[in-house]
Amino acid sequence: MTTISPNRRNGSRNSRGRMFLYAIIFLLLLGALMLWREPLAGVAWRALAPIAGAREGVTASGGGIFSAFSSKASLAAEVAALKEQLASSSIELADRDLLYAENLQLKERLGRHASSTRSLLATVIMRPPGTPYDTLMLDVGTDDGVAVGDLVSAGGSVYIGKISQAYPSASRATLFSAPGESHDALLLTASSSVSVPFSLSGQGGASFTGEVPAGTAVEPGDSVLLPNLGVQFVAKVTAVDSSAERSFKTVYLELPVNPLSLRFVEVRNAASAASTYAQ
Amino acid sequence: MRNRKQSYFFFAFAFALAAGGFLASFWPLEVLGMLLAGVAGHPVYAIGLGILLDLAYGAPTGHLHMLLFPMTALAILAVLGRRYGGKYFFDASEQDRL
Repeated sequence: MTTISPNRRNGSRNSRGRMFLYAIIFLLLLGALMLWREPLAGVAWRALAPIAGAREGVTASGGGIFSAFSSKASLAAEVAALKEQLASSSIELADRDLLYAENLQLKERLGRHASSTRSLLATVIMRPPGTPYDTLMLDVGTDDGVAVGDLVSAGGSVYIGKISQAYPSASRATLFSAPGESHDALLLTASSSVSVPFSLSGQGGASFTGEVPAGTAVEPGDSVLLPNLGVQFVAKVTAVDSSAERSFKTVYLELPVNPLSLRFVEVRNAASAASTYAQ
Repeated sequence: MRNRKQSYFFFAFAFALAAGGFLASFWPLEVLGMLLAGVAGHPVYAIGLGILLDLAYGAPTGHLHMLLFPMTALAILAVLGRRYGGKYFFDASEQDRL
């Protein structure tokens, strides 16, 4: 014979009291967490950073968990494609260095002197899809002089985000493309050599979207700068959606580098980076 | 007894998912492990993991920034789902043999 458990019947009387007690404990815990969130996160990252760093080292040296399953032929094809890409990138880079030097010279002639910017090399210990909200975890923190608001560069004048939290041994960089983030930007159109101010909205996954007036001659490949960073390159146009009846064009953009493949970034002091050309 | 065994199995599976998510660098697995632990009746583990994830990954960007502890909130939802959903689905007719 089976019946409803008496424990179950009596349990409901005590369960409300227990729930009330748990709720109070939880609220106290939540209050403490809100008060000491940053120090506690610092402690958590002090423990997690070495593990994440070691895993990153293993992944980098072994080429990932699934590398063992890659066939020799596909790896050879990948190597060949990467060599081709490297060769074309080297040419573009040489061209870019020349243009950048010329750009600096011209600015200096016009009275805008470049100040020395302090850069700190950081290893990316976690990146999407290991982290949510389009953030990167870096192995440098306040002990190394990193502060909230410092700019994160993928190299050269390509800025990809800002330091949003700095802990003693690690820091979190939020990419400009983080969902919900919006920035005032300048769209440089190659065809008409004019700059159009517009609002750049992060969509996550290194992509952005924005709207420009329908008459703007924007094309895939055009560059976007953030003027408040002392004019630096942050995104390129990948697609343009325009229809005759609309007065605006929707522009789709992406970061110039893939944050999923970044191993190292440079952290630059916000004040010195912003004042580089502010004089 | 079987339920307890199943519960331990779910706990072990949830832990493996969460740890695997961190090691394989894929955060949705960690969240799945946390939710599974909450639904399997391990509130302390689920909420603890939610708090740890929130401390580690910070608050979301944009309008969702107001949530502050989104993973913890998800863990609480899973625990409450287990508690109130349990009345109708899990262990709805716990029986004693006389």
